[in-house]
Amino acid sequence: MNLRKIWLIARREYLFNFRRRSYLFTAFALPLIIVVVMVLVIGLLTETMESTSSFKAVGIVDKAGVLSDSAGVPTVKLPELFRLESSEEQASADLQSHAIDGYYVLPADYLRSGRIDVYNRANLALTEGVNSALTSTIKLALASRVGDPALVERIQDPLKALAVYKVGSSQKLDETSVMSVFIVPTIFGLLVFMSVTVTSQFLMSGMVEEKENRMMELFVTSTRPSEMLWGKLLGLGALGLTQIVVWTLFGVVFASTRGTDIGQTLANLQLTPGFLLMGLAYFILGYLLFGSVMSGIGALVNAEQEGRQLSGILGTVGVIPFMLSFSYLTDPNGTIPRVLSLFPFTAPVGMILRVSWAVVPPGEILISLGIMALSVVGTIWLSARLFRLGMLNYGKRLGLRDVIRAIREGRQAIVSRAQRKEASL
Amino acid sequence: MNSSPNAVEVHGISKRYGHQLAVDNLSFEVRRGEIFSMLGPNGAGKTTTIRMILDIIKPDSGTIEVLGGRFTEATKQRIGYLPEERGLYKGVRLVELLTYLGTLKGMSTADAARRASQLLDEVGLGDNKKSKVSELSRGMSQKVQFVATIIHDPDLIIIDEPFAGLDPVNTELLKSMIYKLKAQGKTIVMSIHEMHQVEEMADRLLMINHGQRVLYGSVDEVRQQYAENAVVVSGQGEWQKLPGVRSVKSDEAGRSVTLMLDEHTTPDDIMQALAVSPNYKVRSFALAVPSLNDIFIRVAGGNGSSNHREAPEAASR
Repeated sequence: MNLRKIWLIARREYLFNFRRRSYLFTAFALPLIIVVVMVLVIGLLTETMESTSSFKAVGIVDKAGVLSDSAGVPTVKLPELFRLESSEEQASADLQSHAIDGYYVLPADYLRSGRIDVYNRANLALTEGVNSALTSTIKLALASRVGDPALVERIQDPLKALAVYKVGSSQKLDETSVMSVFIVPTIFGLLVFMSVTVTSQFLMSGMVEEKENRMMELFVTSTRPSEMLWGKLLGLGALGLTQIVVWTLFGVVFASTRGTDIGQTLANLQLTPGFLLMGLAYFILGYLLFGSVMSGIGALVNAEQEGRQLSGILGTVGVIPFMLSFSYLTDPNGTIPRVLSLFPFTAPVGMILRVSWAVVPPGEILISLGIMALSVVGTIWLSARLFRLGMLNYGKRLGLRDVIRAIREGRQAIVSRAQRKEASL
Repeated sequence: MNSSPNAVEVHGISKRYGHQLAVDNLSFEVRRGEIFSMLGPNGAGKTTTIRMILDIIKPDSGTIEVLGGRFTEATKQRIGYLPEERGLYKGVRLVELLTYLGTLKGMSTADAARRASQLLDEVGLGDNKKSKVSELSRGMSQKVQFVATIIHDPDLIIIDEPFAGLDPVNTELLKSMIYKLKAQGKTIVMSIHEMHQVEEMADRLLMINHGQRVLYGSVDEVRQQYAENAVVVSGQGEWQKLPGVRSVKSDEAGRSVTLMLDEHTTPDDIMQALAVSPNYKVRSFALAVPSLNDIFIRVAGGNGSSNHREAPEAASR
């Protein structure tokens, strides 16, 4: 193979597709939109749901004597937000005069019934944040009746010394990574999967375009089909990597604007060099696998429409691990996750999910990568043949039977029925 | 350069697609520096033959030598091919596109860019160097395709239907460029439908029908070979009474008649007979040499298949 030609083709594919509007959109505009939406959503949610800052004061009428003794003196330290009201009339008057934004009434039979009445102004409902402040205050007051300080402390924070382990590991995970165990691998897997499908989509539509534009015979008399295929795979693969790098940069910039220490965050998120290296290996092999199959499809179809349908099926296979993610939760080393992490088309996402939820024997990762590598060799060989076949059969719809026969017989041109008829006239 | 006088040598190639024999034991050669025409009805096997010469597909049997040897990757750099079904990237600027195609043929980027620009000037597209293919007219993009074919200065140029869809002005331009290439010593193989262009341009021709060679040789040889023992005259007289005239055919317009002669009579005998006899008035007298078009129709157009089989023997001599 001529390396210079591969380089020329790769460079051309990279530059040409980089300028595509759809690429610029997914690479740059999409992450920007996601970041903006996330900031807005997070901001709005915390603002409305958790915060108590929009409340000046909230009254409590304690007829049950849970928070105060018979003289009206608080038995626990009340959060600053709350103030005790001597009666419902008083509370109502304070609400009228805007001294308080609302009030709770604990009726005399509260301990038995659990009933609490809430009064607030029509335009300002008491939020979840206020409710949860009241909840912990009441809990504390009730616990202190038992007279056991240890019990009080446990009720305040029952999960104080929570230790989380991965399945099969005796090493404790630290607190931030508990959340990230679920979120980060999903995002990472999605990222890998998206760049694999987006770039292999480009590969396919590029080939269909060349067939539609009748460029193929020109190429086939200039280069080898294998040089063409490798040039395209490498050029577009680099494009996919560029996209991942751009997204990562967006993520890092986004995180740093929110005052997070990147290095610490990465460590907390378990994005260890080993994990990233594995992700890279799965990206490369996954891309080569999907890319070579997509170019095989591109070689056979005549219109992008047809290609999209076939590639849609392939894409669906790739996300099966996401759909079956419940099986990872229950038993990450069970049969389903194990099969998904070994089957080449589901392995990139399947293994990344599995590794982040359980300790997977390194041998199994190597076997999975090995199976993928072998499949890549197979699909590239096959798609080089299809590539050559498809190059010379544009304008014809190639049936599966034609293709199988052509591959078996080593023929490079398929004679359609119309041509056969024409030739026999 | 190789010492072989032939740019292409094809020996007994056959290609079968399923039950269909697309090319059947075909042999011919293309001499260096000539314009060689391939003719034949649709589906005769021309494109399959060209693809086999270009090593796009392999023959089932037979051998092909191109530019003095087996086809290799290095051969590709010395060949320019303009396929019948051709196209270009739509959204790329002309110079950029041609430079890319040139580098794929082994040129350096600088050389390819320089030559792309120079050739675009030559075909009258100097003002469109920065245009995209999608902005060009059909004739313009055909000229760009021709430029793409010769950008790397190939020794052998193979063109499938060069004039299809071109207007007269661009046809003349392309013709003059092809003559220029010939003058530079390049070999040109054209598959072509327009018979008058073959008559005008080609040195030698090959006609294929049903994958077999039915006509082969220099254009003049082929025409003479198909010339019947006949003369075309116009004037007045009872032509069938002339000695040696087997039959008389008048043409459709009724202006002239063709006198078919028996094997003992030459056109000279007829001329003498006409000159001495007062019963005949002759306005014109010519040998009946058929046009390639007539030959094409006779050979390809269903004179019965027995004719096709006889022709190769006559042609190869």
